[in-house]
Amino acid sequence: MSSRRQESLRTVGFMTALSLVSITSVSALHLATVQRVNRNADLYLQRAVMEVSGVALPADAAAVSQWFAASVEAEPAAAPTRFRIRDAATRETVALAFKCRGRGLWGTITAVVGMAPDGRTFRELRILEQNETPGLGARIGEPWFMRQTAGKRGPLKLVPEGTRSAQPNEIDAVTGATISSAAVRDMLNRLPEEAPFKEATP
Amino acid sequence: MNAAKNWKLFKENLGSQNPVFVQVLGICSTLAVTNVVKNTVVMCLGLIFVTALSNLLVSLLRGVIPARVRMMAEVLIIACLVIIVDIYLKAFNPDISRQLGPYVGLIITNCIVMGHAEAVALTQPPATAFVDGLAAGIGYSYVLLAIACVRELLGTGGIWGFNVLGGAWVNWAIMVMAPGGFFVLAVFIWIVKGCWLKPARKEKA
Amino acid sequence: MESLGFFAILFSAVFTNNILLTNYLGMCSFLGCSRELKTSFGLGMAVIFVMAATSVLNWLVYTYVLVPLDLDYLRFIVFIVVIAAFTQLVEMIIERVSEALYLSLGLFLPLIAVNCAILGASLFMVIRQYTFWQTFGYGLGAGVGWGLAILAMAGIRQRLAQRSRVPAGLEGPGIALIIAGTMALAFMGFNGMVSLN
Repeated sequence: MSSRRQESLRTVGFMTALSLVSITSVSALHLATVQRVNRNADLYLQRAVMEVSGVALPADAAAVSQWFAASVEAEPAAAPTRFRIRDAATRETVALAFKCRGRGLWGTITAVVGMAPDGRTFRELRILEQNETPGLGARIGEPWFMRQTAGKRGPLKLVPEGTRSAQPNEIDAVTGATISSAAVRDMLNRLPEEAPFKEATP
Repeated sequence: MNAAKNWKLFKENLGSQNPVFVQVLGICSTLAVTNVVKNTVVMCLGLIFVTALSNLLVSLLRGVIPARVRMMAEVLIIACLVIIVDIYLKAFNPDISRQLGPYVGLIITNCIVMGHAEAVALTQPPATAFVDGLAAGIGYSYVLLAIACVRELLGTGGIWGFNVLGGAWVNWAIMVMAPGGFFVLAVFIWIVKGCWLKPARKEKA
Repeated sequence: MESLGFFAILFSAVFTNNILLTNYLGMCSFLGCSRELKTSFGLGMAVIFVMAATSVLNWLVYTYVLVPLDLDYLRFIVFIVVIAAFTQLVEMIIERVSEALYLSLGLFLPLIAVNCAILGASLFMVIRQYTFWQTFGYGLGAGVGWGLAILAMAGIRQRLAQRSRVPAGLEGPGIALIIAGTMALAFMGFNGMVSLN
């Protein structure tokens, strides 16, 4: 009778109080750090662009952001997002970079690939996001895979891992990860059609 | 007297009641990241944090938690602590947070955290519960770190990114992939049960 | 760029990216309850049902409540509450509707609520940014994959108990892990079976 209602009320009251306290503390922490988290996300992209354009990477975040603001022109409206990296002093284009997406086995693969100013020769690439199988497809994030595109020209072909072909259009696939490797290959091969290079703007 | 009890509890969690070897609990969330030692260290620290604090908080509240919503309350507390760890990693260690993926969130369903909250925290005073949580986390961590060292060493020739075995080492690809984790853990359990716990049982018999 | 279809994800989740054998999720009940075919079957069925349903429910909550309100960081709490509430509700319904179903399925439901694979499926769904059908395919597929793994494990363990002598140190979890590792190796052979283009 009354004690049962009291019991129920106590239960509801306790759960409400606990929920309020937990959600408030978590929200407070979230609000305190959300700026930082967003900055981290931006920094991640900026660092990748810096690495693929062949510029030496400084240690601290502020320097990277400063470099990015000074030397990189981003064209977010273009698809894929285009970055034009200029030398800070001469304003000459030293490299191009593209943030592109491919369809991997498990989801979208997002990468930044560098390109020489001629618009045909690739430089290194950096995988930003991937959800591929750990130990197999996820190996596209390994340094050797990402560096091998430097100096290659499209359209690219996949050869077995370890071949390290001298041919300018061949890149090593990851053994056992055909789909993930093919996704990267197709993503890179699509670049010339999706991002026509008009060197009109100096 | 309390201190002696706490110390005994601490040692038990590391040894005879070790959550991984003896009870084989809670391997889900961390075994997947044991292919890289650095990620394992971060996951284990996160787990120690969550287990110790959840035990402490549940023990502090044990007088007021109504019996019917016991599990929900525990889950809520644990989930909050895990969110704190996740936000902290995203803000201050974004690279590691990206590599760990969803596994930080899975600490919530880690049987060790819930198991100790139910078994110990609800009946023991806060100091004991805290020590128990801390010890369970540490007992769990050193096992997983051992597994991670083996997997990364054999799978990539180095530990923590540093090359240890030299250029001539042919990587054991299986160690980096899923089956490797199962096999290494099985071998560890075999060694521990065969050499360590069995002689103890023989003595008692 | 097209996205993965329902059947492609379903197939992959069952075989090539089995949530238990590749992502190590759902191990506790897997190691503990896989000695007999009968219990494993019941547990497997329950997991398939709960995983498919909660993945979809969590997708709905995430897409229509959490994201618009910018409350994404609360997803851990919300997901686990949805899962717990769902299993509780289903258990109550089954208990009233069918005694037989309750005895074969319903008893496992509380155990499943804290199964890491269930929460894991929802978390993967968020990370991979699946659409509705992809989520359903993944939830169903992951459940079927988990069920398949536990059934195979139970079958093997039953056989093993009848015929072989397991070394003392490996009894119980040890041999179960070795079997799981071998199954994981075997399942890796499914890679490349399905062409997704």
